[in-house]
Amino acid sequence: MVTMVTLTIDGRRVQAEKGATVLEVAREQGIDIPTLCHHEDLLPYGVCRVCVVEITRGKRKRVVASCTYPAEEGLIVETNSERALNVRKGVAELFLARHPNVKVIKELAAKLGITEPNPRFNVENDYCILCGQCVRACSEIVGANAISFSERGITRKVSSPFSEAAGDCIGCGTCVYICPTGIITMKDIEDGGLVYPGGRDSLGPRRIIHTWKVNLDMVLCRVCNRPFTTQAKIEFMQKRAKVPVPLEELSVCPTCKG
Amino acid sequence: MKKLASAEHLESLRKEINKKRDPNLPCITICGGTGCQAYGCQRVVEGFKKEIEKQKLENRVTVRLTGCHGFCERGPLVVIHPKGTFYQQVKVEDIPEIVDKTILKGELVERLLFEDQAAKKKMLTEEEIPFYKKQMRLIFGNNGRIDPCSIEDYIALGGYAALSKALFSMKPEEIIGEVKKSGLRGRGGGGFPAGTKWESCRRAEENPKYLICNADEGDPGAYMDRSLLEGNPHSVLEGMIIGAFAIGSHDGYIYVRNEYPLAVKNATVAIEQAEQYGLLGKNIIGSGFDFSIKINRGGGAFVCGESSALFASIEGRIGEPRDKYIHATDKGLWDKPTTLNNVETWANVPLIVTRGAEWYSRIGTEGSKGTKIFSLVGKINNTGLVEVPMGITFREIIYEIGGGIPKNRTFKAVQTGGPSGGCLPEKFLDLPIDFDALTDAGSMMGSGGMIVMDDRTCMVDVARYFLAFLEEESCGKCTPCREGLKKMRAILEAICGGRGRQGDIELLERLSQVLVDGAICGLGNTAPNPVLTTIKYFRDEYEAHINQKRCPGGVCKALIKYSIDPEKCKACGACLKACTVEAVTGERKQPHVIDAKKCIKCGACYEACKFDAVVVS
Repeated sequence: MVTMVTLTIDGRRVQAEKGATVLEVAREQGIDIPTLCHHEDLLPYGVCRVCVVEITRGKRKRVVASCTYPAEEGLIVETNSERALNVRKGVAELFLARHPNVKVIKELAAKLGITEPNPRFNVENDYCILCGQCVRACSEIVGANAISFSERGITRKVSSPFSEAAGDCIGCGTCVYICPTGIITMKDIEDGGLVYPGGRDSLGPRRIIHTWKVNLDMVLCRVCNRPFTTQAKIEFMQKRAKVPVPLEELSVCPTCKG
Repeated sequence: MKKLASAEHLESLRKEINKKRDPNLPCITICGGTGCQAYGCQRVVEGFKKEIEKQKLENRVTVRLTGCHGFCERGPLVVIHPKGTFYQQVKVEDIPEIVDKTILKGELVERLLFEDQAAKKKMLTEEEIPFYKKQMRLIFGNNGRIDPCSIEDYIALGGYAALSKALFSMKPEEIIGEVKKSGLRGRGGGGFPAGTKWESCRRAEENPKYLICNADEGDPGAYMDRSLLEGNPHSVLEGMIIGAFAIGSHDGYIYVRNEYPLAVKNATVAIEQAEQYGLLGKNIIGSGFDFSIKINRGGGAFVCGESSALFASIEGRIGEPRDKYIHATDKGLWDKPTTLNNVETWANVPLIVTRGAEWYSRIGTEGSKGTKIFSLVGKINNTGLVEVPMGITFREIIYEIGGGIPKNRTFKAVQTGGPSGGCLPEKFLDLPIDFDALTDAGSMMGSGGMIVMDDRTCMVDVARYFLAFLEEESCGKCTPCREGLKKMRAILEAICGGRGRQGDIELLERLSQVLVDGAICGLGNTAPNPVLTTIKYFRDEYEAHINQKRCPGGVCKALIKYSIDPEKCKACGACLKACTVEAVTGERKQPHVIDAKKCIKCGACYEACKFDAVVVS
C-alpha cells in the first residue's frame, strides 16, 4: 500500500509518496533543482552535492542532498536558501577549477552566475567529474561490473581493474552513452588487424573502448551482414537471459529486427 | 574447561580462582601497552622471569605482563604488589637489584622511583603521583592489574558479574532503561546517548539485528581505544554481550584496524576464552541467550571509522560513507538494524550494570556523565593516557595531571577531538570539559585526543597540518570534501609560505561552510574545524602571515630568520656543532654568527643553545 505524506517545498504544500526523494517531488512540481551525478535510471548516489536543499524538521535546520533525502511528513524544504546556495555555488566553483573545459560544468557554473574559475585556485584540466554514472550504469543497468572507482581522495578515479584491459567489459557502450562529459571514447573499426614487418593479419571488425583498454570482436548481423555489436555482449546476454535464447536470435541488428 | 552453565557456576569459579591467589604474596606487574612495548618491556618481563627462576621464587612471586598503565612518558613501568611500589624507566640491568631489594628485603630502589619536580619528592606508589592522583580510573584502572590474555585475571576481579546480573535478573528493557538513566553518551565522537540508540535498535522491526564495536581509532596522537582493547579486552566483550542481550542481537563484530596487531591478538584470544567458558556463543552461562562476536580487521582508512563507511567495509565493499538520512538503528549493516558504539562506550556498560545508573550519573556534568579517557600528548611533561571525570578543567589536566609544559614555556592552545577537532586558546583553560562545552567552544570531544601546544607553535601551520591529514584521508566520494580540502590546504600552504593574499581568510571561511553543510559524512562536515577555530581564536596570526609576512610562532620557514644575539652568546660552540650545513661560524671567545644564505632553518642551533642566544625572528 502506498502511504502519502505532506511536505512543503518552497512554500508549496505538496502530497508525495512516502519513500520518494525530495528531488523527485520537487521536479514533479516543476521546481528546478540542478543536478550532476543524478540520473533517473540509476539509484540515488548523492555525491556531487549540487542538488542540496535546506530542510527543516522540527526545530532542526540542515542542508541535505535532495536526490537522496526521502519525503517525510511535515518536512519543510527550501530549494534556494542562502545556505543551500552557498554549498551549490561553492561546489560549482570547485568543479570549475578542476574541470574548466567540461561543458556540463561550465553550464552549471554559468547558471549559478560563475563564469570564470576563482583566481585563487590553481586551475586543473581534468575531464572526468567523478559522478560515477558509468560505474553505476555498468553495475546497475548492465550488470557487468567491469569498471570501478579506484584510489582514494584527491587521486580518486574511475578505472578498469588495475588500470589494465577491463576483462569483464562486454563492449556494450552504456558508459559511453551515459557519461555527461564525453570523456569515455569508443570506436568501431571495420577491419582491425595486426601489422608486423612484412605482413598484416586481419582480425575482422573490432570495437575499441580506449578508456578501459578493451578491443573486442564484433559480430555481423545475420541478415544484413554488417557488424553491430560485440561477441562478448551477445554471450553475456545469453548467459543472463532467464529463458534459453538461441544465438541466432541475438545475432540480428536492431535495424533488421525492425 | 567445562562451559559455565549458571550464575552460581561463575561465582564458584571466581572463588576458586581467588582461593589460589594469595593477595599478600608479591606480584610484579609490568606494563605491556604499546608505548612500553616500544621501550622494550618484553625484555624486562623475560628478565624478571629469569631472575625469579634463578632465585627459586616461582612459587612465591608472580610476574604479570599487563595492559597499559597510561603513564607512557616514563615507561617501561613496573608496579610491585601488594604494596604497589611504582618503578619507572626500568631497564633489564635493574632487575637483579629490584628482586634482591624490593622482593626479598622489602627495601626500595630509590633511583627508579618517580620524582615529583614541583614537590622535589620521591613518590612510592601510583596513588601518590600527581599524574594518577587527579584521575578517576574506572574504565582504565584494571588495565594495570590483569594479564589481558587471561580471562581468569578478569574473572578474579569481578569480571562477567555484570553480564550474569543482566542475563538473570534484568529484562532487556530494564538494561536499556538503566543505560538511558545513566546518561552514557557515545565515546566515539558524536556523543549520542547510548541508551536511546539501543532503544531505537531494539524497537526496529526487522531482524537480524547487528551489534558492532568500533575500534577503528585513527586520530593522530590518540590511542585510548587501542590501549583498552589491548589491555582489558574482556571488559569490552562483556559490555557488548550485555548490549546484545538488551537490543536482541545475536551477531556482533569488532571492527579493529589491522595496524593494531596487539589489539587484534588480545581481542581474538579474549573471544576464544570467553567461548570456551560459555560466556560467548550458544546459551550464554545457561541463560538461553546466544551471541557471537567476529573480528573484522580494517585496512587503515581513517574514513572507515565513520559508521556507514564501516558498514560498507564489513560488507566487503569500498569503505565509503553514504547519506545517512535513515538511521543505522533502522538500516545499518546489510540494511538491518545495527547498534554501533566504540570501544570505550562498551567498556562503560558493565560498570553501569554492576553499580547502577544512580551511582554512574553522579559522576560528571549535567549533560555528560561518567569519565573520559584522553590521550594527553604534545608539549606536555607527562605524556600518557588519562581517565578523568567529565567536568574537569583543561587546567587540571594540563598542569596537575600533565605536569605543565616542558621548558617552562607558555601555553598557547589545546587541540581536542582529533584532526577534525578544534584549537582552543588560554581563555578556555578553566572550561569544565564535556561534550556540549567543547562543541559550544567550536571544538569537539571526538574520541578524546588532547594535544597541548606551546608558544612556539604556529596556529596557521597547525591548521595546515590537520587539513593535509584530512585531505589525505578523505575518501574522495563527495565534491566538497575532495575538492574543497585540496583548495583549502593549498591556500594554507600559500599563507605559510609567505604567499598569502588579502581575502584568503574570508575565502577559507566560505569554503569551510561548503564542507560543513555540504559534505556527505561527519568527517567532511567537521574537517574545517581546525581552520575555523584557529581563525576564530588566532586571527591575528593569520593576519601577521598575510599582511606582515611574519610567523609569530616562529615556525613557518619561509617567514622566519635565525640569528644569534651577540650579548647572550657565550661562544660555547654548541650551535656550530649542531649545524649540519655549516651556516654557523665563529671563533673561540667570539660571538657566533649565522649566515642567512646557508641557513636551512632546521632549528638545530636553537635547540642546542643553552643560553637562549639563538633568536627566531
